[in-house]
Amino acid sequence: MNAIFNRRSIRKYTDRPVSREDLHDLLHAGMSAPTANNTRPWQFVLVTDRTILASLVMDKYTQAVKDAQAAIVVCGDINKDMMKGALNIIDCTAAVENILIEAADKGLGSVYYAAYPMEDRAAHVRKILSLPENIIPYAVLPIGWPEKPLEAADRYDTAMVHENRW
Amino acid sequence: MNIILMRRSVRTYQERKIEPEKIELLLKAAMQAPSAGNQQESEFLVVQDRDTLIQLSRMSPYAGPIAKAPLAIILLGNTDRMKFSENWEQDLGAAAENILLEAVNQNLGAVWLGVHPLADRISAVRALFSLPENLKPFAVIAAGYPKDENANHFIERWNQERVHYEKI
Repeated sequence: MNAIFNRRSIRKYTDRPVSREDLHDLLHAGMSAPTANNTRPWQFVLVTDRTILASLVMDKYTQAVKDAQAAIVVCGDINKDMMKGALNIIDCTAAVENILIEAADKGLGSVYYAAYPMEDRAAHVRKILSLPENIIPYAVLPIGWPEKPLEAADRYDTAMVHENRW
Repeated sequence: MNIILMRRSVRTYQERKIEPEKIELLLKAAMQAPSAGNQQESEFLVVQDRDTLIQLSRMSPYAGPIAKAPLAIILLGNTDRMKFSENWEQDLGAAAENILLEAVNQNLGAVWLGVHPLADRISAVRALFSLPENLKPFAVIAAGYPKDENANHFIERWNQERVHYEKI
C-alpha cells in the first residue's frame, strides 16, 4: 500500500493550513486501530493554538511541533487498562501508526515523537495540557504539509526474516 | 483511508495458502514502520508449518485462530539493535499495525494476538522456538484468506468524547 511505503518522518512544514476535515480524518483513523479486548483506552488532544504548540516542544529533538499547523497528542486512560498501563502503550502505538499512515495517504507530514515512557517528556506534556492523573500521554504528532514531497524508501531487509524456525 | 476503516480482527480463514509475494509485502510493510532513532530493531519469524502453528496456538486461550491459519508472523525485538530500548513496544506495535493494514490491502484477514507483556505467553513462544536471549517476542499475527469474504468491513468507531481541543 502506497501510504505505508511513502510514509517518512517529516519535520519541516509549510505555512499552509490543515483543514478541520483532514484533522478529523486523522483522528478517525486513530480510533480505528485494534486494541486489547477492544477496550479502546485512548483519548486524543488536538492542538492548533500556536502558543500551545510552541510550548508543547518537549526537548531539543521535538522542535518540529512549534512549526506544525497542528499536533495530535495520543493519550491512554490507565483506568481502562486491565494491566494498569502495560497494554495502553501498545494499543496507543497502533493508533499512532494509523494516524501516520492516514497522514501519508493525504500527503501530510508527521513524525512519531514518543512521550511516555520518557518520564520527563510525559511530565512536560501533562503540565502543558493539564492532563488528569489517569491520562498518560504516549505520543505527540506534529501535523503539517511537508516542505518537500514524500518519497518512498525501501527498508526491506531479508536478514530480519526467518522461516519456521529461528 | 478505507483500508484503515475496514480493518477488522479476522480469526477464521480458508485453507488456501498465501502467495509468497503477498507474505513478502506484509513483511515489507512492517519494515516501513517508524522506529525510535530509526533503530529498526524488529525481526520476523514466518511460520507456515502446520504442526508448529498448532503448537503456537497453545500459547494462550485466545490464540486458537493460529491453529487453522495458513500463516503466522511472530514479531520479535532484537535487543542488540535497541539504542532506545524504552521505545521498543512502540516500534514493534507500529510494525504490527502496518502488517494488519497491508493484509486488508491484499484481501487477506489478520488478527493481532498479544504476547508481550504477558509472562506466560512470552515463555511459551520462547520455548517453542528456542529463541536466543536477545530476541524478545512481542506479538503474533495470524493471517489468511478470510472464510467470510466480507470479513473486513466498515464499523464506525468515531467517538467525539475521545477528542479534546487544546486542553483536557
